[in-house]
Amino acid sequence: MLSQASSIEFGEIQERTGLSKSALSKHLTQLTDAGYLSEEPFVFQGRSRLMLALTPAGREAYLAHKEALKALLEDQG
Amino acid sequence: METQRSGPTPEEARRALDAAEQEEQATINRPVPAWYFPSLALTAFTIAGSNAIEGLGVPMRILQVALIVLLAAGMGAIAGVVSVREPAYQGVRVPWGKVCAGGLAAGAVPIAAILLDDALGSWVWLVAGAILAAGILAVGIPYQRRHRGA
Repeated sequence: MLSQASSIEFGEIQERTGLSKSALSKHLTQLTDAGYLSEEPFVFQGRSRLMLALTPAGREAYLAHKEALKALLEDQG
Repeated sequence: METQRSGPTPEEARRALDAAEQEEQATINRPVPAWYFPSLALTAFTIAGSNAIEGLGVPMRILQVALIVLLAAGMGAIAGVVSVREPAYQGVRVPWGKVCAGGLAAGAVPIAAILLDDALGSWVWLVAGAILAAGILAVGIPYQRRHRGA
């Protein structure tokens, strides 16, 4: 989902993935540590929130992963 | 001897691609509708440009003021709706510094028109309206393109 948006709020990712807050945090921390995600805290309607965005490296990695999957299917097809 | 699989099976790859496609379709970031910035530009031009009309009687002037108030309220309402939306990432997010700088620049245009009206003529309001409209489009169109392509 992050590939289609400049950034998405943590709460929405959690809602859409159905993951618990701690499980999602763990995944996102790994991606952030790998340089694939950037985090930006902000306040919206009086609540502290966290925006997440793909970094250029993350976007590149995502696209490369998709291409690899497509190549795998083409090889089989 | 058993070989160890190092990557996904074709079925797993297909499922992963389908899931990715579904997520991409479900996440189309539209910070503002396509008509937002053009309508703001048109409204700003109409409000400022209407001051260039001379020789209006009192009833028409009242009508003009009513129209300006209506357009200004509409512009404020539209700006408010697209700026405060859920989920938050879909709204227009601009740093306050830029908002203040843009507001000051936009405010300077009608002030200049007021100051120049008597000396140069009421046509300066048309120019002011055009400058405001062009400014809105100059900021808005790149903003929308940047987010649409993200």
